[in-house]
Amino acid sequence: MHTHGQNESCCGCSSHAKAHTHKKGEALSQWICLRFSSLLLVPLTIWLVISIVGLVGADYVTFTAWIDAGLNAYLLGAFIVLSCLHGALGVQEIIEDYISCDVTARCAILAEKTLFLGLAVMCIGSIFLIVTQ
Amino acid sequence: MGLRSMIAAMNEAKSRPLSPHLQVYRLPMAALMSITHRVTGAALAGGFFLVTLFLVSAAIGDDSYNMVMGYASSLCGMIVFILWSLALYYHAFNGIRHLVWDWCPSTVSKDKATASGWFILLASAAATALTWMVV
Repeated sequence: MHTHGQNESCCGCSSHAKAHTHKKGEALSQWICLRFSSLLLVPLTIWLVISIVGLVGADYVTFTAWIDAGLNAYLLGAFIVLSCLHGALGVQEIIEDYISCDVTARCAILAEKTLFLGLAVMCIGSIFLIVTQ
Repeated sequence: MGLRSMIAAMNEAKSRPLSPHLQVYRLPMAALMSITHRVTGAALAGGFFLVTLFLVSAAIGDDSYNMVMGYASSLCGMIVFILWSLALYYHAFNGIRHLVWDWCPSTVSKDKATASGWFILLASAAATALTWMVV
């Protein structure tokens, strides 16, 4: 776990001081999940950056045709699921490092995970709509 | 008395040395690379909103898609795109270095970390430039 700065207590309270609230093995499985997703994201990222740069300024037909072509919809879906997972776990790590008030940290983690889930659902739903249209 | 002030009072009483203050302590290369990894990671998490915006607008129809792509193709949009790709390359390259460090801790040394750090910075800049010049 990184520690880039001193922990600042959000509310100055000692009652909400960080306790070891992780379930046994939870932190390890999250650590592995973060690394495993990053490994799979390396080739997907290179593919996506090159594709997106080629799509800047593309019209609607070109863009939707690109999503519909070949494996693109599946690769994009895989990128979205993996990067949401990776992002959710990464932001969780940042929150755990910098927010020492346990109650605030838990709320913030729940909020960011819900947000990432919502974004992923919206993205996958959109891909599905584009492909089936 | 809060926990933090209790600890501060305890440290003062025992005249313990303070950890280096960020305002006066020049961070070594590896530390700067590490915090940049975090900053780019957080920025990319924010960039996910833009990915969602594109896909949702395309799913709604060509009017909303054209509006979003119009903003994206402007000068401001291009700058965001270029910074996004730079952050993505940096985070990917430095992430690979973290994976190497995790798997073979023997590869970690101060000199090697500084050298690979410079390599990653140059590679990120080069990859970004190459991507935008070629396409």
